[in-house]
Amino acid sequence: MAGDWLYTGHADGDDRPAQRERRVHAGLAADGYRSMMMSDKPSSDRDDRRARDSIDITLPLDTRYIATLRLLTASLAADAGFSVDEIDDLRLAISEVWSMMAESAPDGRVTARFSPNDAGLAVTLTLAESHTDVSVVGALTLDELGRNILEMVADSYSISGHDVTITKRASEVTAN
Amino acid sequence: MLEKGSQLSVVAVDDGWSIEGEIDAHTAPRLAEILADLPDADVVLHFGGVTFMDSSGLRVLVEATTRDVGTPRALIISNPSAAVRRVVAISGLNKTLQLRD
Repeated sequence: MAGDWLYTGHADGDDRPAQRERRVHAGLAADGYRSMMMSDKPSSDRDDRRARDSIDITLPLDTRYIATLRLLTASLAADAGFSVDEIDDLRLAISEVWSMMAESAPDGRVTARFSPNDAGLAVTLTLAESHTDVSVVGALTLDELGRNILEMVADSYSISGHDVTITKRASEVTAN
Repeated sequence: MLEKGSQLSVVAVDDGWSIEGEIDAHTAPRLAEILADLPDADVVLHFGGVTFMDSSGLRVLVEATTRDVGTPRALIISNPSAAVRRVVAISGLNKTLQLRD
């Protein structure tokens, strides 16, 4: 497996150079949020509630279904308090990741997990092992265009093996 | 019955094509086919009805704009939505693609 890496970026309007760093554990996103699936310590009550609030959907990794996932993304992002522009950004991020995965495993299936957190949403797309021969799937890589877009529209993203996690903060969400 | 997946409608108009729907990995190949067959003349793509576009669409537009066969032609993207403007801008393609109100 190529090394895991994590991008920490800044939204548009901020021209500071992007910072990159390598991390061993891709589950730990830029805002300190730890993916439920990767948690290796007892969960707090709030973690339990978040885990209950997460939504999974598994789809054929066929371009015919990307519109379905974008629709669900828009709906869940609206529920999470995202603005119209932020919803568009997340739809775009999901589309870029899907296109990348579909090139690597065109006959596979993908599970998308939407996990609410204090700041917004984390979305993890995982090639489903029971339906996809992941041993023959090449490394997930974005071309320059896809990478530029993802860096601009997501607050962070990480690629680890056959998982891609995107986090997106909602600008006006209050933690509850 | 509608075909499954993202919908894209491309209709010929006087000065080019009127495009409606979503341009993604599912629909971009169709757009590429149409743009490959265009004559060597400036073409207007009426984009007012395009509600979504990702890098799949950008690649097709850039390829159609910068192709190295035939005579150079302008591809004018007319009346793009905010979402289309944003994806073009963040991709750094403002100078490659011609957007117009």
